[in-house]
Amino acid sequence: MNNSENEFSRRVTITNDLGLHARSAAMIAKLVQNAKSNVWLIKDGKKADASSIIDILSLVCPKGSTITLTIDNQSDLGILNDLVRLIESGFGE
Amino acid sequence: MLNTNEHEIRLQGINVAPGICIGKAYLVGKEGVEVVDKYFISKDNLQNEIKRFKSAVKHAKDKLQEIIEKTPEELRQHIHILETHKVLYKDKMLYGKTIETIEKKRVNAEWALKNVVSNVKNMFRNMPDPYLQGRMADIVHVSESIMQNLVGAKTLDIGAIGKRVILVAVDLSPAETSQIQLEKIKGLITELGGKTSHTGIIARTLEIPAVLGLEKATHLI
Repeated sequence: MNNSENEFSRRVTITNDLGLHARSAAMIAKLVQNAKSNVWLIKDGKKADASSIIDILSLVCPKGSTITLTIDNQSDLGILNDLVRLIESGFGE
Repeated sequence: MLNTNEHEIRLQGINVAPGICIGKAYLVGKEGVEVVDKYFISKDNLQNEIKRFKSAVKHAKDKLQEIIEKTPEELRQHIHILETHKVLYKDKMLYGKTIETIEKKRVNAEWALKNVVSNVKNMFRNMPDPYLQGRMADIVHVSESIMQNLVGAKTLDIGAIGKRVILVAVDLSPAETSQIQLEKIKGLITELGGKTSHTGIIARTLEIPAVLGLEKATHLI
């Protein structure tokens, strides 16, 4: 899967004021619960399971942080794109 | 009532919602699950133990759903906290890890849950951001409601309080405070919490006088 990593990952910047806090993490986790395989958030080399609020919070992503989203299975491409949209829209805050 | 027994105490806490109220104190003796037994589960019973855990989570989650549906109109804007709690019940780091611990260590669900929660607590304690440290309270509320279901402890049913009282508690969870009915609760006193805690926000929304962060309140009153 390694050579296709670029195809299945996106870099996004957190734009909402509160950063990845409980509510935004819950919105991500809810979306990812429909994924067929794992979806990951990566920040500074640390990897968090995007289906877990607790894991997302443990990354500590305030406003302005840049994170990479990665999927393990290409059938989750739709979810990956939805996530990018959700984060870039600032979670509707 | 005879005046000879008159007794006055003055206590000071954090004022989170101003106002004056007079009424009887309704002491919430939190039947917190502090002592958790540890015992081993035989291989044949592991699946039953996992089932017991899953059903405790389901009950707690169903109860929360019920509370969400019954939440009064003026508190609707706070519902996202309860929705977050609902997602937390099935969080891999809590739900998945507890099941994994039951299986791997062959221990009872209560013990497994307690261990998983204390690991998560340690992780949050080391976070640089006070906001994130505060999220630990959400995880504690969620895990406590699972624990209460596991051991069959009585839970506080704020909705069932019949008379007008001042609620005195160690702490109130968002699920508990969203059940507050204005005509029943005159004021709030809790040992934990402060201006930015969920209880404080709810008290201001409902305009109920509240003093939080009043240490030992449940012992002194």
